[in-house]
Amino acid sequence: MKMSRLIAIKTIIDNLTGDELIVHANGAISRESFFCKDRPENFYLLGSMGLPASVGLGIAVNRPEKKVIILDGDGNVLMGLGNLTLAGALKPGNFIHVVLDNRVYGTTGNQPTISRQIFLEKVALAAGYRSSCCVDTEAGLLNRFSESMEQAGPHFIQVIVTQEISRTCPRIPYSAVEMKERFRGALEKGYNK
Amino acid sequence: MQAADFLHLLEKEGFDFFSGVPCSYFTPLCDLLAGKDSSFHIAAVREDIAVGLCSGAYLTGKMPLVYMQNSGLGYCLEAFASLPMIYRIPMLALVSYRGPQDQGMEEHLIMGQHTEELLKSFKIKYSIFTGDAKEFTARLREIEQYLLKEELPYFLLFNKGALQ
Repeated sequence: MKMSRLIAIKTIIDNLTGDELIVHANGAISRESFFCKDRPENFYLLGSMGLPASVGLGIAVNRPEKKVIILDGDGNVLMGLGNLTLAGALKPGNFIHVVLDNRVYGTTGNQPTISRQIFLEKVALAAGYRSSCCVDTEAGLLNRFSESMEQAGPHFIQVIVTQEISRTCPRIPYSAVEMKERFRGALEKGYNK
Repeated sequence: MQAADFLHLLEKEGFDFFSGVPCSYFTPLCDLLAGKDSSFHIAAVREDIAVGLCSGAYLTGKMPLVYMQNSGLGYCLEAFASLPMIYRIPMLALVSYRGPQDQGMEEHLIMGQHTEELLKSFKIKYSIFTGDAKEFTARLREIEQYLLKEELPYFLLFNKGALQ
């Protein structure tokens, strides 16, 4: 039974424990996560292809007490492959890198990426992630995600998903500045706890 | 200006997260940053990644500084345009001003000739860092006010030998 990206995202969101910080890749990943559950701790990239993990690393090294989850795509990871080497070298224990891999550049008309030809989870492992896996079922994702939440990272979870795009997902109604202020506000609140 | 004085001044003014890709124009600064904790400095593998790291650091309350050669500026103008410039993230960018004066280095020729044009066309505010400590100390206050008020990147173009 193949898993849609929306179901994969929902599996992760349903298993958060509270105030995890999530950085989202641009496009459908942001919109589908927004549709599943919008939270102040969600940061959505409007563009910046290749950079979700960079922004997430900048957050993770400065807030080691919080889990930082990256909801990334295969096109994004391949463009910013250097991020894997940096995450592997820095080894932030709170860094959980989830790659929703649909094998294509979805928003531009499903042109294939090269993610079928290479083994991203092996690249991550070679780069120095503490754990790395490739899953293609809800149960597998749930299992590995729960483990990643409990053990020191960085963790890499490649999730093979279908090319389905949820057409019902609305555009994110916030401006870039609003998203920034909201996220910073959520972090400030966390500091005073 | 001595790199140690330069760094001390930046830290005093509140810059507390540094990331970038080295240039021989500011080797002494990179030497001072090497080995620091990753919550203070990360040697990035690409310039656009450094812009991403600095943006993330700002989201956690840090005041970021990114450094690179002007060759790297070509790689990451899009990162500036799609992150700090639209989310309004203040960021001081140190960029070495390599160019025709680097004799025998043809690779810096084109970017050196167009660096200022690029910044102007992106409406990015910048000034030239000559290495005059007194002048820079005074200007840094203005830069900081600009960063806090406009919440946008500000660029300092580094002349060769400006930092010792």
